[in-house]
Order: sequence, then C-alpha cells, then structure tokens
Amino acid sequence: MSPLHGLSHMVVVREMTRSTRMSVRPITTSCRMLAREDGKRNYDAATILEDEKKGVFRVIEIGKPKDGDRKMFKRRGGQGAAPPPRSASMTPDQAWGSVWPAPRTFHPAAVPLPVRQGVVQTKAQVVPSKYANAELMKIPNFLHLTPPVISSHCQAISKFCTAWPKGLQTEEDMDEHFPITITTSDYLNSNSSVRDRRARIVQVRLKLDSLPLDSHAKDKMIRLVGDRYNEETGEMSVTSDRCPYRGQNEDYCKYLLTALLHESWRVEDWERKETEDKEVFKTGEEEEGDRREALEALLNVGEDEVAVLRYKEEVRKMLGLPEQLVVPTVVGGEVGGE
Amino acid sequence: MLSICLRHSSPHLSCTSALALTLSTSTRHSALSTSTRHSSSQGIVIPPRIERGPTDLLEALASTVGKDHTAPHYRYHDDPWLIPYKNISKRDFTLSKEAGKKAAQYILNKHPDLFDQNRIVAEPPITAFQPRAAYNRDNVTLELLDNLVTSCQVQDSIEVFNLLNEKGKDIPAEVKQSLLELVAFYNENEAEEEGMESRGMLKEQESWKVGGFVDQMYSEGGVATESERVAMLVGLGRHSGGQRVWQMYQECKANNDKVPEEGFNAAISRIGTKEGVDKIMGSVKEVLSDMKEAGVSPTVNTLISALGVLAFTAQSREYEGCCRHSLDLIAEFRLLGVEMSLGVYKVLLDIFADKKANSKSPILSDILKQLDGKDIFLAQNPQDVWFMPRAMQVCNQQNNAKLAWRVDEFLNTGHNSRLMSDFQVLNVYYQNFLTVVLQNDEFQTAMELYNKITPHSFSPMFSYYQILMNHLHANGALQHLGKVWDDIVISNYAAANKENQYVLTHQVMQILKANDPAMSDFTGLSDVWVDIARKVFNHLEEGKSNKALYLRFNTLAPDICDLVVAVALREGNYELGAKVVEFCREEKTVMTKSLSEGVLGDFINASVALGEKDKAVGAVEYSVDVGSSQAVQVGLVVAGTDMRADQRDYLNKLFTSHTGWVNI
Repeated sequence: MSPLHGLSHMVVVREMTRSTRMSVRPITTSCRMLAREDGKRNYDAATILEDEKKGVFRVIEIGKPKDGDRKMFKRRGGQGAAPPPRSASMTPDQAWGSVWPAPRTFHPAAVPLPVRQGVVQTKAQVVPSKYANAELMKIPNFLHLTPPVISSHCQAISKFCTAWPKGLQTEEDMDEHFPITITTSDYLNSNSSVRDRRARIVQVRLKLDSLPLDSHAKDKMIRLVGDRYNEETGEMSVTSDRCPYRGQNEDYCKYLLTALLHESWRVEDWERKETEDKEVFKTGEEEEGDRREALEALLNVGEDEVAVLRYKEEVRKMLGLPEQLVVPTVVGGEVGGE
Repeated sequence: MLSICLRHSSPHLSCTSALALTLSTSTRHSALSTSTRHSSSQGIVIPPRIERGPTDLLEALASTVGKDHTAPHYRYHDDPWLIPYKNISKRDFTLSKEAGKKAAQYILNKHPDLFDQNRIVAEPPITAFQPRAAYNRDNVTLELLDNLVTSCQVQDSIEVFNLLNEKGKDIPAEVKQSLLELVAFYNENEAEEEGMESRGMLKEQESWKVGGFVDQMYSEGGVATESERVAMLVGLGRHSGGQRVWQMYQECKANNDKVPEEGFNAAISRIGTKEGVDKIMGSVKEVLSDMKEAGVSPTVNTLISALGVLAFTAQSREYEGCCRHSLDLIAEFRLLGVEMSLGVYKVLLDIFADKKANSKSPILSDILKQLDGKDIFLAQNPQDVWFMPRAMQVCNQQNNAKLAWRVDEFLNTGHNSRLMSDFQVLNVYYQNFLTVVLQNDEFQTAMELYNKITPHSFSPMFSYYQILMNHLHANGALQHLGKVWDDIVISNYAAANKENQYVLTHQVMQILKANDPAMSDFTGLSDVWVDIARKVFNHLEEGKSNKALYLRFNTLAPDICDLVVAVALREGNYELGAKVVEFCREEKTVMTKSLSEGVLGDFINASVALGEKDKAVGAVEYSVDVGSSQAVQVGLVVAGTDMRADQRDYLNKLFTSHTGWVNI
C-alpha cells in the first residue's frame, strides 16, 4: 500500500470554489503562462485575431520555453517578509509561566528581552544581539524559574505539604530522632530505553554518636569502616552498588550496618594484646612511674610552643635540673611613657 | 537487640520534565527514625503523610501553566519563518507530517530486513514500531488468526483468514464469529491509531462497505446465527448502514435475539423522519419498550439517538411538539439515573434553536446554568465534541454576546478545552465567537479578543474581516487598521477567492480614503496609510494576469486604483500615485473603467506643481484617450506651464479634434 493511500479520502474543508466569469475558454492556443510581460504579443484567443488583422502573426515556439519556468516560479508568490517575532506582541503583564513553562534552549523570538552576549575584540564592535547567538543558546538559562513562577509552583505543590513536626526545631533534635539518611538517585533521559544502571547505587549515612557504642566498640567500629568514617563530622557512610537492583542494595546496606554494630561490640580473643593499641597515650596508671602530663599532652593533643615548654619543664624536673624561669620580652616598638 | 524502624518522612523532590534531552537527576532522601532509643519526651508529632499518586506533583505543576496566545500550536515549529498563518498551511503541515509517518511505516514494512540490527534498542520493546510480518501460505495458522483478532489487527486478520480459506483449513465457529464482530465493528478499516485527533487529523466518515468482506462472510455462512445478526446490526449502526439497519433490527427482533444497547441505539437513530412527531415518538417508544423487555438498560447514547431523530423533525414543522417530547424524554432518562453528557445538550440545541426561524429560545442559558463550573471533558458520544461550536452558533444567531462569554468560560473550566479537537470544531466555534462579540459587545473587548485569538488559535474568514473593518471605520479606531491589514495579508486575504480579495482591498482603500490621518489623534498613521496603499496596489498589479481573475474582469480594479491615487496624493506620496497612473495608462484598454476625473485632475495638478511635465502630459493623454469630459480643462492647465516644444506639439496634436482648444 502506498503511503498516501490513506490520505486520498482525508476530509479537507475546502474553501468556496472560486467563480470565474468565463467558465469555458472558447479557444486555447497556448499556455497562458507563456504570455509575455510587455504585452506586445499576447497569445490569447481574444487578441490573436485582432493581431492577425493588423499583420502580426503568431510565431511557432519549439522546445522548452525559457522564461516559462521562471514565470511559474514567480507566480508562487515569493517568501515575503517574515512577520515580527512573538516577543513583539507580548504584554508586560502576561503570564510568563505559560510562555516558558519548562527548561528550553534560548529562543530569541520568544524572549521579550533585548539581551546581548558575547565578547568583542575592539571597542568599535557591538556585543552581539540575541538573534542567532550561539553563546546564548549554549549556556543553561533559568527563564523557566523566574521568582513569580517559582511562587506559583510552590503554591500549587503546597497542598501536598504537611506542617513541620513540632519538637524538631534544632539540628540536634533531628539527628536524635532521625539519624539515618539514605540517598538514591534517579536518572532521566529521552532514549528509547528508560533504564540507567546508576540508579542502583544506594548510600546510607549515619552519625556514630547515635549508635549505642562504648569506647571499645566505637574504636573497633571506626577501624572496621576505615575510610568511610569522616572524623570531622563524626559521620560514617556505607555505599553499595554491588547488586543489580536498588532495593537489594538498600537491604545490603542495612545488613552491613547491623553486622558492623554487632561485630564492634564483640571482643575477640586476638584483640586482647599485651600492649593494646590505644588512641590516647596514658601513663602512670598501671605501670611504673608517675603521670607524665606534659608528655601526654604533647602526644595526645599536639605540639605547640606552650606544650613544648611544659614538656621541657617536666623533663628538667625529672632529671633534677633547676627550673627555668620564663622571662617575657617585649617584641618590637617602644612602649610609650615608661 | 535493637530494632530500627523505617519511616519515610521527607517528601520526594519532583523530577524535571522528561522532554529534556540532557540528563537530569533527582535525589531522594529519606530519614529513618529510631523509635526505642529516645522516647519522644518533647512530644514530636509527625503529621500523617498526604497520599499522592506518582504523577500528582507533576499534574499540580502543570496546572500552573495556562495557554500562551502568542505562540503557535505546539505541533508547529516555533520559528518566525516556519509558523503557519494561513489555514491552508496549517492543514498542509498536519497532513504532511502524517504522510511522513505513513511513508516511514511503508518503508519499514517493505524492507524489514534493513531494520534487523538496530543501534537503538527500545526497552521495553514497542510493537507498533516493529515491521509488520508478511503473511503467505506457509506461515499462517489458526493461532495466528486468533491472536490477530484478539489484538484488533483488522486487515491482517482478513488477510490471514483468506489465506487459511485458500489453504482449505477448517476455521472453528467462535473464531469466525469474533472475526466477523471485529471486522463489522471497524468496517474493514484498520483500528484508528491513538492520538490521531490530537495531531489534528480528522476522522474519515465512511459508510458501510456494501458487498465487502463482511457482507460476503455473513452471506456465506448460510443461515445466520444470533450472534452474527447482532454483530451485523451493531456494525451497520456504527457505520451508517442506511435502511439495512432497520431491516436487521426487525430480523433480530423476529428471531428474539439478545440485542445489545448499541443495537437499540442504531435502530432508534434510523427511525424514519418523514411522518409526524407523534408517529416518530410512537416508534421510539416501541424500541424503548423492546429494550425494557430485553432487560437492557438505556444509556446516554440512547437518549442522544432519540433526541437526534427529533432534531430532524424539528427543522420542518411541529416545532413545539418536538420540544415538548424532547424535554419529556430527558426527564424520563434523568429518573433512570442516566448522567447527561454534552451531546444531549447539543442535540437539545439543535431541536430548540431553529436555524431559520430565528427563535429566541432561552434554552442555551438554561443549559449553561446547569453546566456551570462542571468539568465534563470525557466525551461519551461523538456529539459531545460539537456542543461548544453549536452553542456558539446559537449565540451568534441570537446575537447574545453575554451568553457567548459564558460559553467561553465554560470551555475554559477544568479540562473542557480538550473537547476542541480538530480544525472544523475550532473554526466553527471561533468564527461564531468572534462575530458575535464584534457585533454585540464593546469594540474594545472585541479587539482584545481578536488580538488574543488571531492568528494562532484561529485564522478568521474574510466575511469576519469585512465586518471588522466596518466596525473599525465606524468606531474610528484607526490605530488597529495596520495590524488588521497585516493579519489579512499574512493569512492570504483570509483564504478568500480572488474576487473577495479585491472586495477586501477595495474596502480597506475606502476606509483609508474616508479617514484622514491628519485629523486623527494618532501619529504615524500617514506612513501606515501609504504603506497599505502601496501593498494594495502591488497586490493588484501582481494579480493582473492571474488565471483566476483577469484584470479585464476585475470590476473593482479601477476603483481601487482611484482610491490608491487619492490616498497617495493626500499623504503627499507622489511616486505611488504616479506609478498607479502609469499602470492605468498601460492597462487602459483592459480595465473596465478609467480613473475618475477628480482624481485625475488632482494628479495633474500635483504633477504640474512638482514640475513633472512628462507625467502630466501622459496623464492628459490618458484623459483624452478615455474620453474624459474635462480633458480640455486639464490640457489647458498643463499648457499653462513652461513646456518643451515637442510636448507642446504633442498636446496640440492630441486636442486637434477638440473644440475649445486653443493651439499653444
């Protein structure tokens, strides 16, 4: 079946058929379109006989007429000027959200703003206008999210929103009652296939303080998760992408959390060492000697001028050396007066 | 052991629209709460989640988007050069798009081997885009026929059936019956593709294929069974089978068949309308009582068929009888609990609002009162779609602009605008709407409506433009004339034929002539006037040898030329005037009339004043040629100026046979 078969009886509303004065031409000698412009010789039934009486006879034309094609072309009625762009008929109080409802490549005829973009090398040149401006088309625009449109969107969605729960005013409250965060991503594309493998990735984040851990358990937990623990925020995150489906990955993450929790509470035999790994250096409790506070401060907190000085004093004391007095010196500039 | 309980308390973030070609992501965060650890001492009350469907958020956002009247319809390409303004272009675009789709499918079906290894794999696979299998004697089976019939592939199943018959296979009766039902329902055409109407394609109105595959199958089967008769009845009714519907219905009744509701509806709609109202009502009641006996409950389609029959009779005489009966019918159906659809109201309008008698029936305002604020865009009957245009027609006939606005308001409530599905509906609706508002409402409102609707929602017909220009002239609202004229030109003179085009140009020239821009409050009108006059003249000149209307038969051409010259001279544009006069001179043998004397006189005076002696002499020659009575006068005027010798001689030669001429 030809592709146009179905179209042969498409209903087309025909406008009134034109009524011509002369319904039947009595004689047709040649194509009307071949008539010459200057009107000197019209191969037209009405004028042929008159012409012949005057002594002007028809000339036979063999072969393709030269201006025939051009005539037909011209008859089509040329392109004409394009009508003004739509932006010319937009009123300032129109509903912009209806004109530009979704993210769209910049379209100069539809944007009623005289924006310009581009770089010019000399002062004499003018920054290019918005028409046929590839730079404007390349960049993302947020014409679909003007503030009034955003408010109208918010108003439309607000009917699905519930009030913020009372008692959940501070971040601490939220951490206390809702400590776990699960993050997943959805991917859209306009392909023939809607699938995207990246959608299976699941990340579970949790603050360690919200778990019931004693010092050993916390230490063991941090060692077990390793890199996944962020010291500054105290948060650990577990990401899973090993299963093909998102639900499976989510279940796997929860299983991991449970396993980690229980494992960190368990104390294995091989964990008990003679010299245990401790995070904090302590002296003078079980072993020999007194408390070495300065040394502990240096090792646990860090080094700085004061700490090093204190350590020096402590060692001097231990070795029986006399204490050194620290004499403050004035640095730079005279003190006015005295 | 600790238990962790899940609670999804934070809402989704909505995804951006799927039309974006770039990737877009959305992240979903959900928070879990530990319930046993800290009992809610502060009394945290989490309000229950408001349930929403998967697309509710998107629909809520979409409801904020209204209609943009400056934009073309979504199906067209949004580019100033490519937006269609003429009705023909719009239709061409739609048809060519469909033709392209059909061509692509043709290629796909003709060369399916070329589309085996696709780079793009559709997941899930789309069966409609896969090439159709070619059936020959080897690969047809009964199961295949069964599958095709159940999946409503009409032409394929006919083909396979014929092939199986050729092969001599015995086809079971149920398969034959279902095939008969399928083909009768679709009248041997392919089932209509989804979305055809939304793309702007009109449905073909075909009548029953007499003697086609269905008729053959029916007659071959020997004595018809009940289900076969019923299938034929429903098929015939659906595709305007004519008198056979009634015959088939009587046959079914005679055999005590279980006729479904559609069969009864078809029978009602074929009740002869030649007898009087009472007889018609009698037949309708007969069919309805048959329905009752058969235990089939009538629906709104039954009501519409019955009212449709009354509508035919209401046109002729017995108007009150029809009205009364229709209201009775509606009341009865309402008692039965049948929900009224828009089609009922449309047929009511057909009955009550008589096209010829111009009856001022208040039925429409009553109907609108009923419908106020209702969102009933789900069409149950083909007549539903025609309610709006018919209502607007009635408003136009009754010259009631307020009602028209109410109908428009109804159109814009909820999703009712989806009922305006195709070009015909749109055209009738808007043509009547614009006309009634223009003629009966304030001019300012009418202009605002016009600017809103033209040219993207609707391109008006030339009759509307005539009325509009008259109103422009009457209200002195000349500032709109430029835009209106541009709209007329760009819509190809409102799709008028050649004669009417000249009627329009003539009318606009008359308006230009009658309104002097110098007297109006607006500035810049003079240039607009000259521009319009120039365009009108160019249109005339280009169309002079147009096959549709030769210059010699164009009775309005001389008047148009006249007015163009008058306007040009008044606005001080001599060149345009000279051009027109030159044209008239060249075509003086062809044009039916000549330029009027006053205008010619003005032109000659202007030429003399500007020192354009050649043109002045040419104009004098013209006035002599057409035998104007003032030829001598104008000749004398020209003679009074300083002229070359040859021009003097020429003038003398011209006026040799004229009395009152003194040789210069």
